[in-house]
Amino acid sequence: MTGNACLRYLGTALIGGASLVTSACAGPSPDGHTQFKAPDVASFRPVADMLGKRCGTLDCHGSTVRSLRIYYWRGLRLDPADVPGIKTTQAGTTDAEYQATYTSVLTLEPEIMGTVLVQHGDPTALTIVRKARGAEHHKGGTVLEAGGAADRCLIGWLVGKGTGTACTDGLAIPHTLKPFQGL
Amino acid sequence: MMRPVLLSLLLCAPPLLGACHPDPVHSDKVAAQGPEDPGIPTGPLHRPGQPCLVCHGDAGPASMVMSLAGTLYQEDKSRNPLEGAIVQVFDSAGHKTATATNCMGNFFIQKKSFDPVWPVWVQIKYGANLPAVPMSSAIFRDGSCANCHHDPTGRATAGHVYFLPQGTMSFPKGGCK
Repeated sequence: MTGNACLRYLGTALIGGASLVTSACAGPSPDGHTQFKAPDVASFRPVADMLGKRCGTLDCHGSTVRSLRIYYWRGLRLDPADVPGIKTTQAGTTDAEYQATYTSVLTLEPEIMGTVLVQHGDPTALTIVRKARGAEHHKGGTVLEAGGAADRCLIGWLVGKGTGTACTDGLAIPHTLKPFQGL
Repeated sequence: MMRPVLLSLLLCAPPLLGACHPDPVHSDKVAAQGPEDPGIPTGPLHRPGQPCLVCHGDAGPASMVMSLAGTLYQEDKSRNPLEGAIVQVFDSAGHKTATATNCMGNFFIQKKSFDPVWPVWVQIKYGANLPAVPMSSAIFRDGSCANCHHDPTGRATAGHVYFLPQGTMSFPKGGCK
């Protein structure tokens, strides 16, 4: 590429970039509201417990630097006075933590989530499903095997068809290590 | 004629050079660890309680790459190192390994000898007749204990790794001679 060609190329790129910035600024009105139907909050707790155990350790989604934040009594706590691994309620995870995790899951892709629920869309349209299954790049790899109990727990809740025993079954992380089978 | 060429080279070169620059986020993390303690030689005894893999991970700058490393303390309320403990690690593929803590409480496992399939489970054994103490959750990706276990305890840290709550048993005086 000659010097002039390089400059022309750079100029085009700058103009193109500026156009993108301009169009990004012309987004939805800050006063606008988007309504969507959300999965059931009342049946979320077992889903949250499963997510907490499988995804919510402090080195993964038990972190405030993640888009998906999972609050769980053995991981990230919501109240600054609470400490990971120390129960302050019988359940361990507090009501406020369940609510915060629910909000975090919902706000990842609310419009798509509403579509999955209302129009019986494909749950794999949701990034949380694709990443959990390892179908999309995920640093944690596959944490919910497609069709497995934990996966059925999440999908059943997302599509509003109920979770049955899937969430409880999904708490058990399969491994053959006898010293840790009780965990 | 030369000026446009030189200008264009100056404009086009930085993106190419940028690929060779170290990750500034990683560099900041390394710098944040601070200087060495002048009283402790660089090696297996240095920097107890710090996140080892910041420097001993794949991105360096240390030459020895570790998969898991950390510091164990005797009790929750004190920072006396737990020497001679055995750290047992089990990975998701059924592989296992073990290593011992030194007089600073430090332990490390080199990646070339054990590159685990995450998640991994860890337990500590200490003394001949005491039951092993397992970590209550799995480790899914971070081989540095101190990233999740640093003081003071808070909503995102469980505090330093300890064997037993204070007063449960008496330990020998810890530390290197």
